[in-house]
Amino acid sequence: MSATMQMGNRRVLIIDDNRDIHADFGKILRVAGAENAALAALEDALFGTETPALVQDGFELFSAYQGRDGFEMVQRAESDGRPFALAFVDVRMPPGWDGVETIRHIWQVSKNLQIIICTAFSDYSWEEITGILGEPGNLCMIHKPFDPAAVKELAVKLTGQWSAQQEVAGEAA
Amino acid sequence: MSDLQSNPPAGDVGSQPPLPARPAPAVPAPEHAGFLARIEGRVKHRLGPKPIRKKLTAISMLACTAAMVIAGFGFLVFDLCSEFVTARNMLRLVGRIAAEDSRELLASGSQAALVSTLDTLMEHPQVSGAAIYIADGRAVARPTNKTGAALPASIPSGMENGAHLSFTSLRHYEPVMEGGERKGTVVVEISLAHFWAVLRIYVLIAAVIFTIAAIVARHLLKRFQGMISGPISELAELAGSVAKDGNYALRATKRHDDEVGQLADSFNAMLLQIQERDEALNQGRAELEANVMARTSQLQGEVVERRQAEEALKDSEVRYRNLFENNPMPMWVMNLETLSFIAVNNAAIRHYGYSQSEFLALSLASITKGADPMDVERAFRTSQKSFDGGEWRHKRRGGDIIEVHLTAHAIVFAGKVAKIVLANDVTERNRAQRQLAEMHKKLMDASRAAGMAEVATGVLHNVGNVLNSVNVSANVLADSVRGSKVAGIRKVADLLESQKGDLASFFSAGGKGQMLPGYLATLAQQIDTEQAGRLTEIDQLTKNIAHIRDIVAMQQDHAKSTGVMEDFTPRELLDEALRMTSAELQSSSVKIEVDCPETLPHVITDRHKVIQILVNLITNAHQAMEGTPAAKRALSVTVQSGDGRQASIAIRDTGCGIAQENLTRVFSHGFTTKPTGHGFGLHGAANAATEIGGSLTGTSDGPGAGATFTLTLPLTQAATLGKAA
Repeated sequence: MSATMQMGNRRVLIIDDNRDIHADFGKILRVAGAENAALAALEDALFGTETPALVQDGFELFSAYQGRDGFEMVQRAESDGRPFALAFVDVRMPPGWDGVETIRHIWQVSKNLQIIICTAFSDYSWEEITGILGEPGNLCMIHKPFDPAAVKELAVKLTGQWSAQQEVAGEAA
Repeated sequence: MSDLQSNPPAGDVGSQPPLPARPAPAVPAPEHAGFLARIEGRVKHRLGPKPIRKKLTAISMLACTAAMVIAGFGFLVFDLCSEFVTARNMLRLVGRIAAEDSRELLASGSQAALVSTLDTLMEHPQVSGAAIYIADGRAVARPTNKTGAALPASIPSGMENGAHLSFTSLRHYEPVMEGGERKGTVVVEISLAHFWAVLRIYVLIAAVIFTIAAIVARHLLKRFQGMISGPISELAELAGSVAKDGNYALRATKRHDDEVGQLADSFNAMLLQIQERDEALNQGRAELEANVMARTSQLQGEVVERRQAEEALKDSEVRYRNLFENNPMPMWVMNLETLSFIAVNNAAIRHYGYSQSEFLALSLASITKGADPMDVERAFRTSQKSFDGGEWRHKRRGGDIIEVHLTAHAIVFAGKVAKIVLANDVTERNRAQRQLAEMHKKLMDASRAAGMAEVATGVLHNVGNVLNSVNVSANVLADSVRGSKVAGIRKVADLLESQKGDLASFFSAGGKGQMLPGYLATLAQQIDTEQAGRLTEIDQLTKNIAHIRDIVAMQQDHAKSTGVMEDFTPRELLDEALRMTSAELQSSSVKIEVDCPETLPHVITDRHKVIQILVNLITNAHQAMEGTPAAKRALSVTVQSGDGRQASIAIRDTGCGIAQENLTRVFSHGFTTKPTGHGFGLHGAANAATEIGGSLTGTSDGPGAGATFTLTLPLTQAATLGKAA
């Protein structure tokens, strides 16, 4: 947990109706276990090498399978004082709200939440989305199938951006 | 004054002044009424029309006069009576004295002495005569008075004693008694001339006093009568001006709180009421006037309209003739029985090419092509006044055929019932319609393609998701291989190679070799773990790739429309359709029930069309259940083989249902109830069902009661044979 605190808020919400996608995100954002550390220590001793300390990403992942559920989780997190920094939102989530509708609701309760829209094909163009959601400062879009490295990079970058915005907001306040 | 004087005094004349509004009757009083009543009636009659001021004066003067006359008369009578009584008493006394004096003288018979006695009496200024008569009535002494007159020489013997009054004098007879025997009579007389003189003076004085009193009274009346008559006159004037000018805003002035004051109050109250009513009346009148104006203008409008109508009617004959002759539409009049032409207009001649004389030799049946003449007659020999004759093919003069739409109307022409017919050339229109139908068909084909695109979109969504997992798995594998600890074995080998010369010391106690077995064990365990992870990942990858292959295979099936007939069981087709839609159905937690017999005859059919239909029906059912609570969402599919000639697949949902009037419309092109739908789906599905020799029907118990769509597929000869085999 101390690592998490070090890195700032790494709470990430995944809203997608497809359970496989949740698993995919888990594979990308969760770091392999610490059992490697023991082997590395042995290797260092045996071969006289220097293995660099593992960078602990430590994302906390939360899952919602419908837009409304996701919105309610964001709402609850805000009221508990443990807000999410980032959310991945699918566009097509029948039968409830679609992704854009969900984002519209989420931003009403959590203005700074960074959001990555995931879509398999263009249900909405970028212009249509900005037409509905307005200023998309905290929004970016990735297409399925997505590049795991890009997803990880975005996750790190955007959670960092969330923390920076919080600091600025705090200083402003 | 003359009025007053001519009227005798009357009692209570003024107590009841006659009202101006009700004049007293012309005949004063009934015959039996008393004198006073008659006078009263006459006074009332005379005073009736006079103004109230004069009436007041007259009544007051009458009362005054009556009082004065009665008072004066009373005084006069009293005075005269007292004078008379005094005179009589004096006479009686004088008479007695004379009788006393003369008794002895009479007995002695001394006439001179008697005369002297009487002369003494006569000395009294009022005594105008005296005489003494003996018992038989003869005068024994009768001296003359100053005027030389004397009492009569004899008196009647039976003359009573006492006072005797005549117009000019008062005489007193006094008997002369001697020893109880009447010896004679002494008579003393007073002249009444004096009384009359006094009376005259009295009357004169009374007249003067009366005159003065009347003048004073009149003056006073003039001064004070205004107190009573003034307000009344004002009131009367006010009423007059109100009546004359209709100004109800005027008000009477109240001076005192007497009856006239009350009258003014009442009058004002009445004026107020009248004013209010007058205003209401004025308002009503204004409204009435407005209504009358409106009605008048309306009537004027109507009059104008009627006049125009009359003029129109006047021109109608000419107009109708023009309307017929110069109408741009071909028209003719034809015989009701033979359908031969009686009259044709210019447009008909132009359009058909026949001249007028040629036309008149023809009949409707003779120019109609492609129809039995009997049918033509049957169609137009109808008793209907006006009717749509329908479309017919007519031959023009040149022989070419036109399509016309005929409208007929019964008229009286030249005194006989005939039919006027209007011919509308619809050749071009029909041609355009045929083109439109072709276009429509093309559009329908396009719509089928659009329906398939809908399927493709769903497929793409699924592929996208699966591909994501594939990609992630591949990356995980790559990372796993890249970061694999297998490299450790190489390092161990290199280490052992480098220690080749002194392996013993390397493995001796305290040497690095002592660590090697532990490391290798850990490494082996790590590599096992990596291996297991990679195998799991590869397993998943393989599954996902198979999944994609399935989806793509299905997509390919739909992308091509081969029309190849293949052998299937309905179950296989159904399963494929359900598989294609399962992702959507599961995400909406729709419960799926399939009722399908184990053994079913095969069908030889165009697989992709059946799949397209079923996917469409399932998708529709799914969308219809969007408003249904998740717990109640159920899709039940029943497959039956029926009579062995056809199989039916009935798909029933618990969705929003279909209104009765829409049950057939749902199959029509472009009909949709979905906001984003284009109405191609069911239309295309029904077309496809027809194309493969089956049918598609829909039933619903109405809105909210769900719907059932049933696809029937023909069982082919081959299928029957296959079943037999």
